[in-house]
Amino acid sequence: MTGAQIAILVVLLLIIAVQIAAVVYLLVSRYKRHAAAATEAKPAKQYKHPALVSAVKAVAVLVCICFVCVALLAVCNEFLYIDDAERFARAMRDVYSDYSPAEGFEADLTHTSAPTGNVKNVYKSKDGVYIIEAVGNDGYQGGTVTLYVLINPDATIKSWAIKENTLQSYIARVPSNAGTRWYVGKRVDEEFGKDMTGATVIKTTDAIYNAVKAAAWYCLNTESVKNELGLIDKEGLARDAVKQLLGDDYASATFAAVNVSTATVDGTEKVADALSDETDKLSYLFRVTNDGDVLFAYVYGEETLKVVVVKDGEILSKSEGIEDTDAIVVKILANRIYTFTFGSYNAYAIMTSSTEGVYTVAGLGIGTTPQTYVLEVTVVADTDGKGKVQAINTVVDGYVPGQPTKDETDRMLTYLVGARLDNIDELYNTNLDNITGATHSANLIRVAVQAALTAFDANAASGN
Amino acid sequence: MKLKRFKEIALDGTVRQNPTLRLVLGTCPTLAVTGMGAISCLGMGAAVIFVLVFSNLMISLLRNVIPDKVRIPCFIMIIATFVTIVSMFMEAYMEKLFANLGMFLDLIVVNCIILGRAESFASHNPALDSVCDGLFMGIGFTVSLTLMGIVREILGKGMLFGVQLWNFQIAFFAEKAGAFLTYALFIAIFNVCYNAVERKLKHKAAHNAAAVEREAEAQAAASTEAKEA
Repeated sequence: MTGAQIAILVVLLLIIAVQIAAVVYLLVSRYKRHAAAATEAKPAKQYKHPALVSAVKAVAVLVCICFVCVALLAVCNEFLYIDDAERFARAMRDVYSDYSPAEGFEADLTHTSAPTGNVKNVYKSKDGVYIIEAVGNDGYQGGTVTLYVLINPDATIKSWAIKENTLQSYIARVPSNAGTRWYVGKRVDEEFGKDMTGATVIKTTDAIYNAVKAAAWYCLNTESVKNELGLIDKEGLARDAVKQLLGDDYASATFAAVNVSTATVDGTEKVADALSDETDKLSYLFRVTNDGDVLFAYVYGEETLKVVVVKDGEILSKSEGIEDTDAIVVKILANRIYTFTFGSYNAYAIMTSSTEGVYTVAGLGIGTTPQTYVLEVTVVADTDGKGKVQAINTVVDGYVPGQPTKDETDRMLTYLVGARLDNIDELYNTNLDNITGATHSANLIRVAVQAALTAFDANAASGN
Repeated sequence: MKLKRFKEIALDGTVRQNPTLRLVLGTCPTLAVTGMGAISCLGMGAAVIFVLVFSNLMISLLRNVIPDKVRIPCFIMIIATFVTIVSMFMEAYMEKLFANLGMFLDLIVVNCIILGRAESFASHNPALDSVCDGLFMGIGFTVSLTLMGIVREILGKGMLFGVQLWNFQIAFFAEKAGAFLTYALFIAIFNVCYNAVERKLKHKAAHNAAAVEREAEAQAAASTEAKEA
């Protein structure tokens, strides 16, 4: 107990003593009056304004009782008050029993006012879990809920526990295990909606959601936490590196990132692995579109980004220090990427081998649908010397169960037998484009075949 | 305090004026807390006993000081103080029980039993009588609450004091409707038993009175005969 607390306690005890003395005095004096009245029947004291005296007396007694009660509560509070450390320990017992504080951690509280609440304190455990004490606004009757929100080192929400609340009369209706269910596993940098499974209160759960969002906001806006949780926009940095290399001419170019860790070049080997070597690992691959130009930008490295930009199979630009003879550059040129645009749809294909007119071509999905069709397209010279598809074999079937049926999807391959670069659009529009729900598969098949035909015609033109 | 008076107060609090089963007071916590299990019922009962005893004591001590016009605000202030103390104590030392009882702990402030005893007993009786009244009223409330809690816990959850007994459950008894049915059954059984015992006691008292009267008449007749002889 500090000196100030002792002083407060002494003052409170004095107040209580005075109040008790006053009450005892009142009781004794009243008893004496009664005794005197019994022995000597004195007429009662007549006041000039009896109603006023009675009212004043009533108020005085009520105020006295209030003072006594307040003093009593103050004393009890001194002994029963639960401090922040105890509340924190209790919360950790409930949701994170392995908690042990990280040594030398100092909370960065430069960004604490989130749009949905604010952050009061931040703790960190030895194993890298951040514990953010966040207040959520807009609860029941405009009150707040204060939570400890636990964030894993991989930026997902581990759990949360309620520390305290204001005005949330129905907070008991929030299920006791909600802290280990609601929002758990959500990434702080993703958008997630309100969860109130099992609860029968709305506004209080709103405040809980706001507190969780405030904690997420803190992670995204505090540089040190952001770095540690890996929340830096690495893709954005890679894009900036490409833009810097390309210069002002490509300032308004549009970028489409290929998911290199899921897309494959042959159905099994990932694009990232196919285009990496021991020293350089492919981090990002962008298709850059600018005024009809289509470029492919390969970004390597984690900390120091290296960029190689390819246009029509040739190196257009590259970062300093990259040589044409580097293994990476050789690999990039060997895995030539073809890109085609059909209306609003862009697709691309990687050719991995071409032997005696048989081209192995992967039609790669982009964005959120990264399935791959890998086809062996046999191309022969037509009467005019242009390439014509003689046969198509499926090496890797990119079919995803659903619409259309497997049979219909397989039939799409047969429609393109006999295709040439000058009639592939017609065949596609007539036979493939009208199959409901097959847009993506049809385009992947088409782009693969188109890539094979383009390669054949290019080879024929160059006399190879 | 005389032993007879003490017995009267004890019997009133626990049986004759049992707050839950005879006066049907404190219904809200009864219906709600009995669904939380017998341990919560005991906790709630202990809190009510504490508040009843100390608020009765304080009100009784101040009964001659508190003006009639402001007696209800004064009572509420005193009761709220003790409820806050018990709430703070539970939060500090009985974390789980505190979390279980939630707002029902704070609602003791407006519990009819406590305000009712303050108004009808403590404000008219000496301190010791009021303390006893608070204690036995609280015991009556706690016992009724705990028994109901036990029945609902066993039938509704197959548990007793938090220990799983078997997997057989009648979920209805753990629900709100089950609370009403259990409460009604307890009131019915208690009152049937109470009325039967009371009738028997009245009958016995009447029988004893008649016997005493007959004896007195016989003695009177004997003394008359003796005089005449």
